[in-house]
Amino acid sequence: MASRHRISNSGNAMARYIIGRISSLILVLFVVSVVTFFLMHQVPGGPFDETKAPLPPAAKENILRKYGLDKPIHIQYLNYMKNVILHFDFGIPYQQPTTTVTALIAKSWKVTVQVGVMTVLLAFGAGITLGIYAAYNQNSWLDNVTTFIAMLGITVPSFVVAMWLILFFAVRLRWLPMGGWNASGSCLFGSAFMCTDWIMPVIAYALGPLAIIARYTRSSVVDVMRQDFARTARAKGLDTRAIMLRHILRNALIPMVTALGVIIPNLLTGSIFIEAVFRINGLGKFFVTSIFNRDYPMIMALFLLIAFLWSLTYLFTDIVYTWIDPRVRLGAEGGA
Amino acid sequence: MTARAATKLDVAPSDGERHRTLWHDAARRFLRNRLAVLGLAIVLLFLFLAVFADLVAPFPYDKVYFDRVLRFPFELPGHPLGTDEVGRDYLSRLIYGARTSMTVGISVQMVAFLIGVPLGSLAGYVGGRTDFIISRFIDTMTAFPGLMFSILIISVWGGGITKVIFALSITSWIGIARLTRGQILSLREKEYVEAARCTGVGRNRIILRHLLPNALTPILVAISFGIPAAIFGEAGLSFLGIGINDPIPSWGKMVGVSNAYVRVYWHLALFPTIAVALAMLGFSFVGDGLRDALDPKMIE
Repeated sequence: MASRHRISNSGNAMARYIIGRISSLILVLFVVSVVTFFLMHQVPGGPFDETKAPLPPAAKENILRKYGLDKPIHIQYLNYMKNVILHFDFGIPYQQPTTTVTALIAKSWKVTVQVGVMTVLLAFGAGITLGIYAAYNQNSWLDNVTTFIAMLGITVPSFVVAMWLILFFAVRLRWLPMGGWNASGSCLFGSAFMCTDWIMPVIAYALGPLAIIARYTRSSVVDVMRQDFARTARAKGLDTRAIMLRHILRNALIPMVTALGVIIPNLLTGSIFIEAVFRINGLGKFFVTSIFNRDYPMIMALFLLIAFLWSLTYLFTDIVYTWIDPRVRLGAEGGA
Repeated sequence: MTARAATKLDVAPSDGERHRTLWHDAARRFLRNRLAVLGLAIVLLFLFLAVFADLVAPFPYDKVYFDRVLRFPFELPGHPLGTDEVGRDYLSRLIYGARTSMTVGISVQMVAFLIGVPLGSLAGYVGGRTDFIISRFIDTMTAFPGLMFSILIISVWGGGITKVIFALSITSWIGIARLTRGQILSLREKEYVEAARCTGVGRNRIILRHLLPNALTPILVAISFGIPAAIFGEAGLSFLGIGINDPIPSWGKMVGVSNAYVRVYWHLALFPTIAVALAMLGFSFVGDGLRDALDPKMIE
């Protein structure tokens, strides 16, 4: 943050930087695994506590032994990590013992990724467009509409937006389905092309990041527009479009990469709410049911997955940042 | 920004007046910003409601009237915002909800300040191995999926306001620590700090008297944006049904519970939505206003 010298990023420095970051990623995963493992075993009650039919003590002992739950907790942790690292085996989910954790996640993560990708596209597409138009037509009605949308997106939580959308478009108007994802009745041209049940979750989910992006773009474009090179380009007689695309946007969008790096990890966990409101069977929903069912292997796998993806996006955006802005020096902020 | 340097060897032209003018100017700039003043009014109103809820609210938040279940606004005299699914006065619950939101928002940011500022200053000023360890710690915590840990922690130790504050505090200090470190790092090379060091001022005094006051501005702005974020977090947890326990009201929970009745009883969702949105709006306006007012580069 303090000083960004113009230093060429030699390949060597880049390699050293990436290795450093990857080792810190491994550290993160280790810490997350330890904390999660010991924390979730603190949850009162175990996965096989009798709710309906009481089990005979011998049967319960057998089940506990089968899943290794009779051993001391640090042994359980070591066993778990051994299986994960050596065999990439994340265990068997207690809620669906006939499959594996990996299979269950593989089945449900596509939905979450679909929701996430569409949300990112809408948020960035509409957000940047609105921001540019608002910056170019300051204090016009479009600018005011953008400000209003931005305010709405920042002040109202996604799950509240979702609820009101459902109330209007599903309950009152009956235009859109109340929930679900890729439900057979809602898709045009067969499944997974364009489904009406995509519309509300994606809008509700995208509004928050869209607002942030539109505000960010607007102020950043206004800043760049005032700079000397933009004035020079105008004085040279270039038309507005060329100035916008070639000169202003290139500079104004650099900070957006940072925004991307903050927004995407948050989208990963934020889908918990959207999936709950729209009854979408993605990772977010499994996360909540796993915690309530004390499904230890599922909880562990989900936490590790999110922490991994989260660190990965941070690393990725940092690298992209140094790519598009040569003024940024690698590791300038990390101190390593 | 004026450098209130160490007393004796002060090189800068020291006129004692300058010190007060930063805050004085900031206050004037802030008050001239109409949106900021509006935001401040909203925030003060919610703070007032939170502190004096017992006096302002017409009914206790947990008083149940089984003969007045699910009434619309103004349907019954004395219940201007109607009643909820078990016959509690909705206006009173909204007012007490302000207390929950404000308590969570401010407490979480206080914890963030108390952890983030010392850690960040230590890392920034001492540098070396201390900085390396603290920075690695901050990096590690940044990759922590905070929301998921909040949910896990609450399912381990149960809900309730202190546990929600604890759960949200785990990751709330990271941004403040990073910010403080960066500020201290750039300030500690300034001449006035060097001058202070030459005159034999101790480390803690340099940090507390010379560095932190100058680093405070962005931290203050970050905190004013952190409060609504914490309120959002509480609303989210309570919406999922694992935050604040009944009968304590929380806006997020009120929205969540109303989900089952909202098709007919729209008011159950509308009023808490407005309350959350207003609180967010107020704090964001104040944050924006503070940022603009405290920016010494802003020329009037």
